[in-house]
Amino acid sequence: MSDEERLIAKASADDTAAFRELYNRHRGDVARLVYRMLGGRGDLDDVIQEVFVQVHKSLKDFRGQSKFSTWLHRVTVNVVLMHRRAARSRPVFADEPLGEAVMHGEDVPPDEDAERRERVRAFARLLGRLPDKKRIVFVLHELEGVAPGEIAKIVGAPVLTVRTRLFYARRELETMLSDEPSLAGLRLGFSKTPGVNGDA
Amino acid sequence: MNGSFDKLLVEMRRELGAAEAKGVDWDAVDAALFGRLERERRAERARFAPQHGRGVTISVVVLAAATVAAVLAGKARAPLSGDRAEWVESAGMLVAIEGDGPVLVDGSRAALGAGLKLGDVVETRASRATIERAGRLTMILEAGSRAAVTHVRGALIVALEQGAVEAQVVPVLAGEAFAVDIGSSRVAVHGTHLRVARDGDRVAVDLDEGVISVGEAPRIGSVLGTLVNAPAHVEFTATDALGTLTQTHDPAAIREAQVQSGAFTSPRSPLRKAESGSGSRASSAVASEARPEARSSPNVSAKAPSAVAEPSPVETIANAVRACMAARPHADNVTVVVSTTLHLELAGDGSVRTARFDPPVAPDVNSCAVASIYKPRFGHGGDIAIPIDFTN
Repeated sequence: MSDEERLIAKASADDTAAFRELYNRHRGDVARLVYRMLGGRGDLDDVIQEVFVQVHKSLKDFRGQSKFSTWLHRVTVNVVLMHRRAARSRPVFADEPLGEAVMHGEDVPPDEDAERRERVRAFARLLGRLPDKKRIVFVLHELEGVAPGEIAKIVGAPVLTVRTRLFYARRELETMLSDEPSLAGLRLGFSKTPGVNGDA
Repeated sequence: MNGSFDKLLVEMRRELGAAEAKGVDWDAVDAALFGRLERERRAERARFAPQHGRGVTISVVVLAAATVAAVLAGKARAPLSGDRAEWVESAGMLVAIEGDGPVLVDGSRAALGAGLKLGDVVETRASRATIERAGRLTMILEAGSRAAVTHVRGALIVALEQGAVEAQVVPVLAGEAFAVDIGSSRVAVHGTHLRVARDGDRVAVDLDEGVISVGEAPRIGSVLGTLVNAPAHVEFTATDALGTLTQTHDPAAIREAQVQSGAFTSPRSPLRKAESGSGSRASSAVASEARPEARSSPNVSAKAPSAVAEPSPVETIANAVRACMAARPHADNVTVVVSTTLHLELAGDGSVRTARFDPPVAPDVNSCAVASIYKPRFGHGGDIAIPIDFTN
């Protein structure tokens, strides 16, 4: 039994110290994934909290049939989806400022740093425009590096469906790049017919 | 695919969310999380184990009292922490399970008395679950249904993923008391008895009492959709409620749906359930008898299914106008009082010829109510004045 398996077993037996250790190990990954799937800072803290409440509740049902990370991704995805549904009945502030805390070395020129931050903001905005199902598979695969087979387990869909969603998510993002000035140049870079969008 | 996009992805893998994850105020998250877990642990200890057979009646009565206390306590201490407010309003409590098989909450078997909260997903298989929100509503999740609690603050909103939900809702003077989301559509309730069922994207609503709004689920505030007065049978497609909505006020269509929905056994009267036999299958046999009593919940007029009669035109119009007033956005901490009289001039055939509010009401209330005002047919001509008072 690995160290993590022992920790999971103890945490599922209501050992608070073990659960806290599990939480400390994974909270950073969960926070990044939640941020990426929410598409902004928004209710990041609340959603992280909710993810770990669900983990605490459901840990006893984790049988080790899949990797813990896969299971944790699944819980996170479900909580984010639930949160987004609930958020529909709350006010949404357009163009919510994304975090400004992206740190870089002193040697990065300020203008380049500003451009890079704007690209990140723009990309987050585009991600937020993708439908939930496509955004989830895109974030998991393209940003988190999760294999389609694992994603299939996380979202409860056939691998082929996951691959299809990935294909269309990527295509939609590619099309949307021209909507964001900071990314529009990239659109040109891989458009087979430059000038189609009037930007030749 | 192309190199530019892949380069962008490499950058996003590195940048997107990385700093934000590091920048989370972990002290605050830790405090809120572990404080909440501790509170839930304490609440869990206070929960009652499921009872069977003759013990059901007594245990459910005790649980109902316990839940009222729990809800009140929850309200009193929310928001919780000083720097990180946490709303802990309850979605309701599981007060009855009829039929074989478990009721699952977030995939785990739930016991009678289990409290529901925001984010919970309730699933029934061969059984029906009765959920009560003390003093506000009683809801039955029918067998083979799945619903998620998506909003608990003030109005209770559930997202119906499959199956059907039936609810008796205590009327509220302002806003919406209860709503069912089906995909992007919402059936919003001001106070009524209704049943919402979905089969894929097809949705059927049977409305016995009151007024509902059907439309696209808004991000905030009330549904600005089609107002439907009881009695009515409404059908629409979840993806386009307003574009596909059809309604009939033929009582026969509504009665048919009620038969399908089965009993509305009052959760406040578990004694009735016990009296009818503890066997779950027996309960559906008393469906039609239990239903009228179930509707006599506080502030809700009791009507037997056979008595589902068209409300008087005066009542229909007054209800519709109040619903329009209630649907107007307003701050929670502002009390809105409206007192007006609607003067109608009726034609000889009983149709409404002219309508005038005195004193006038807001233009959007006028626009909202106009269809409901001109639709009913009175049994006489002449002039009529309908006093309308509204307070949220």
